[in-house]
Amino acid sequence: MVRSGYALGGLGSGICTNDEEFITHCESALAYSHQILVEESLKGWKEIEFEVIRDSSDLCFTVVPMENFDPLGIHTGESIVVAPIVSLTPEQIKMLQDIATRVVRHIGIVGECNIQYAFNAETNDYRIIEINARLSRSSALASKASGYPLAFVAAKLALGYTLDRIGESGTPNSAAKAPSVDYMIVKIPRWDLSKFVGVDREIGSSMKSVGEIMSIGKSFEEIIQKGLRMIGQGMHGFVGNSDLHVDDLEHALSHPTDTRIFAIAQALEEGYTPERVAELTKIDIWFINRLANIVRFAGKLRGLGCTVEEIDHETMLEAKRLGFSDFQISRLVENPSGNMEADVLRVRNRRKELDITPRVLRINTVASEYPELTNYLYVTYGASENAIPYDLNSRNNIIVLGSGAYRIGSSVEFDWCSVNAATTCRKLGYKAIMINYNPETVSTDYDMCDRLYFDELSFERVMDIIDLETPRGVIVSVGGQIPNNLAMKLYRRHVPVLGTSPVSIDRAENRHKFSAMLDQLGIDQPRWKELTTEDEIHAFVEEVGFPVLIRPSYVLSGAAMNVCYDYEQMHRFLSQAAKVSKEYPVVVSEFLQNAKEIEFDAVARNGKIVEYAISEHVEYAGVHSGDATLVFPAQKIYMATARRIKRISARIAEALNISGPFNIQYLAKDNYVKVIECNLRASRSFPFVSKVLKKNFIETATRIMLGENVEVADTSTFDIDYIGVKASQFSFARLHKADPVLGVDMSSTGEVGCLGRDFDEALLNAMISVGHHVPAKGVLVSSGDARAKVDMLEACRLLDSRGYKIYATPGTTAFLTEHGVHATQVCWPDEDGTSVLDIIGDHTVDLVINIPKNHTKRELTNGYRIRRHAIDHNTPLLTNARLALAYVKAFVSRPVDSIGITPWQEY
Amino acid sequence: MKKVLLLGSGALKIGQAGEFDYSGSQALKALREEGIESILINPNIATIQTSEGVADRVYFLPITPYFVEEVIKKERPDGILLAFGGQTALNCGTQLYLDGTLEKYGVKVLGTSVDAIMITEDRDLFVKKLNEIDVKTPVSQAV
Repeated sequence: MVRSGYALGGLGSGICTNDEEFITHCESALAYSHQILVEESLKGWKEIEFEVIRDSSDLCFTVVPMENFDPLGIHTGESIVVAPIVSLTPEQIKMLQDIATRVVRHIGIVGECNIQYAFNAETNDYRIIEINARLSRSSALASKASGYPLAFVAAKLALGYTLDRIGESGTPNSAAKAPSVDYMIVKIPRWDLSKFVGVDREIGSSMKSVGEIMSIGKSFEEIIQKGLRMIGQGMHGFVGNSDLHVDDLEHALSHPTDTRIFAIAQALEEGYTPERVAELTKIDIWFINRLANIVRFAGKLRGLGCTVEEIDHETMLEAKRLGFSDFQISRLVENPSGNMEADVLRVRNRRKELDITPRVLRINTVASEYPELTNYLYVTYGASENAIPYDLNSRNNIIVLGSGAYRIGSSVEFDWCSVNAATTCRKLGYKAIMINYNPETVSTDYDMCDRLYFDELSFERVMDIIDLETPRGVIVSVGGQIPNNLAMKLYRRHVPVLGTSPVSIDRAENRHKFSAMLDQLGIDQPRWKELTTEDEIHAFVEEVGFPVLIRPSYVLSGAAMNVCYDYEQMHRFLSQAAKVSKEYPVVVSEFLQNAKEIEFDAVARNGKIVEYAISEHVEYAGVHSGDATLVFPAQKIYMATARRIKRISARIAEALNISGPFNIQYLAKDNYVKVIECNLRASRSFPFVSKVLKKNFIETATRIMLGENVEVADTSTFDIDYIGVKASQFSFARLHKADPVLGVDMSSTGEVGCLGRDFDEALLNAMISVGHHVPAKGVLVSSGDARAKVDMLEACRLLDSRGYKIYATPGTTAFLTEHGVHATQVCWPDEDGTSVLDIIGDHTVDLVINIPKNHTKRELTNGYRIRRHAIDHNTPLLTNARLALAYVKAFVSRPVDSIGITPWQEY
Repeated sequence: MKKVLLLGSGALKIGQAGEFDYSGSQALKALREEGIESILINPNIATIQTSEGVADRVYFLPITPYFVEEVIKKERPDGILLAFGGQTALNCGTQLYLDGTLEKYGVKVLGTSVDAIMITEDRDLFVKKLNEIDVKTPVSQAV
């Protein structure tokens, strides 16, 4: 086992089975840390985790013992984690707890830490793998799993408090005693590996997941099924999923990937014994037996041979206790096809007829501001009574639907929106009720709202909660796409959805309806068609010309969207990556090159815009808006363009009678403006524009949705004399073999937003914040089409004039020399001689600019190797000519120490 | 303790995600309860911790030793919290401690001492320390 010191998330680590793997791992680990560790591998042992807390008076105990479902060898961030520990004896747990407190005392930690064990349950042998003397992902999980706010308590301890002085002493609200739990939780990671071309899908000692969920309930069967739905990758639970089949089960079971859990389901369904599955996966038999219970019961449901109306009380109750959703029950009992909305409702009706509805239980919270509040809740079928009273006549409750697991495309920005919506509700005297299940968020902090349901955002569960709470209204527009997708279904069940009507949401979401509306309003959009055969596609391409953007509705492998530049590329994509048929149509749109992309974020009331923000991308269209570098206020668009965008937006807001947040994306080139997308919900950039403008768009939107009066802001308040730049954070270092290139599908995992007195300052600030450092030695420049070469020429001139040494690939060198810029030629990776890879490997260059050309295969392969090499050697990489030029301009024009040390409050 | 600086975790990335918005927000809440002035450095503009009313002053700046030192120069905090911004904050703070910057400006590390942190971060120290009380760690060598 090779690991990096001083790193997080197992970066650069891995288990090596031979010399070759060993050398590769060492090289990559040393690129990120000056110290690496070579260790005995404990692969296959159990992994056990504790959070330990200790105060200055030496009171020390463990909070929430947690157990990894996956055996050691898989990073705890990549593993399914269960609490409390279920597969060890109380004596074994006690032994590990005692060691933990002994170690923490010996090291002298005051505050909170996390301790990880490898444990062999047969021999009682153990190793301490790691201690994190800081808050961690696990501590956030443990806080949410137990109601014990570890970070809050740790901060108080750091200020000199002792545990007995935190919370109310002598009551269950005191922090001086470890919480006891009478429920179970499971954490499941969320991966987005299918977004990355070429990425290695095996999971191991280095993290690849981008988010996680926590599911709470009374039995393992219940929480694992709930949890697998929460992950949000189209799964309905442990069983009852279509489209999942692996051919080589033995391999799939013994080589963990992001989908191994479903290979376990398939194995159990195909008759593997739990013992055999446990042997192949090294997962404890306790867990496999529980999973086998689910499979067995699914078999029973399948064999009922009746309609859902005929399911008896005992069977229905048992199904729900084992975590089966109404959807799963419908599918297993009747196997209907097509849209199952009505079928699923029949299960719901049958349940109610049998008086089978879930119960709401609460989690005791510690050190909370209002100890009498009992507001941290979960929903289960494993109880007979609700733990809290419901007042059906209050009509003062507002439900805010949260954003679920963090994933590429939906992250902390929607947590910010959800929390601000809830806070505004409370300010206005309403009771804010939050539904969300992401343990990494502030919205699932029980202090942020009046009631927190830590539970599913499925139609079924949201309806269960609505039945109990009878809310005055539900807010669906602040949690991203998950709640947005529920709008129409809730509307059809007569749920009062606040803000813009779901009918309008549907008009904006449905490509055909939206397009027809734009035509009717005389608003321009890129030409597009929904097509079902390759012949039709060819005919359409004849009409609009290459390049085209292709969006299949069924993706076989790789990215969901692709820009194709010629027939060969299109044919390859359609035959290898996507299905094209009547059932799975493909949307083909004309793709405009060298067009600007502009974002319009706004809030409207009854179709009239109240607040708005226009920002522009640094990159040309073609880079996903979530990956692009955003500038606000837009600096480089024509006045006429801005005016036209405002006018079109006002017309769309009016046509859809928008009341609440919305976002429109535009393409602008020369003097025309086209609409590419419209979302009637808060967008990713809402917190960014709200904070730069110092106008909380979500607060305004929430006020509008609650019928409060808001003033239409004076346009002069949108003039600010500083600039905000939002830059994206990529995590390619973690995603072995993935091509670190930007495209129409989003691949960044995070973002920053920085301010400056001018664009250069804000951009430089933002780029350093996402891990760039201004190069001190040399810059490698390679490839790019003619347009990119021109952009790069300007950048290279600047670099050359400031004495930077430029290295370039042959074509680029020729181009630069021809234009009087000094450049040293290096070979392509597949040529003999000193190659680009050599000068990246020995750190001769400390910035790599590689602009992919999207053409010949050889260049793609060579380009891939350069990009990957830069990432694997921890060298900053830029793959977009426009951003590269802007960044070079910024760092040559102003030194890092000219960046103002100015707090937000003073802008 | 009148004024405390908290280091955030920066942009979300694989291995370091939203959990640090939660822990940082909680710590800032605790500071507020105590009436302590709070300064936050975190360029992640989409977080709750960088919102109005959570910290007293927010710097949307990189979490690197240079920028943190500049903020310390300007704000002169009495204490610093390193444990709430993931590995980014911990590494940056440890470096400032080791190179004497924190001492130079009289900034006290609150909570677990940097010496204790070093024991958990440096593999050699870690193994030695646990050997002292006969607690087992994987057989390993740092190179």
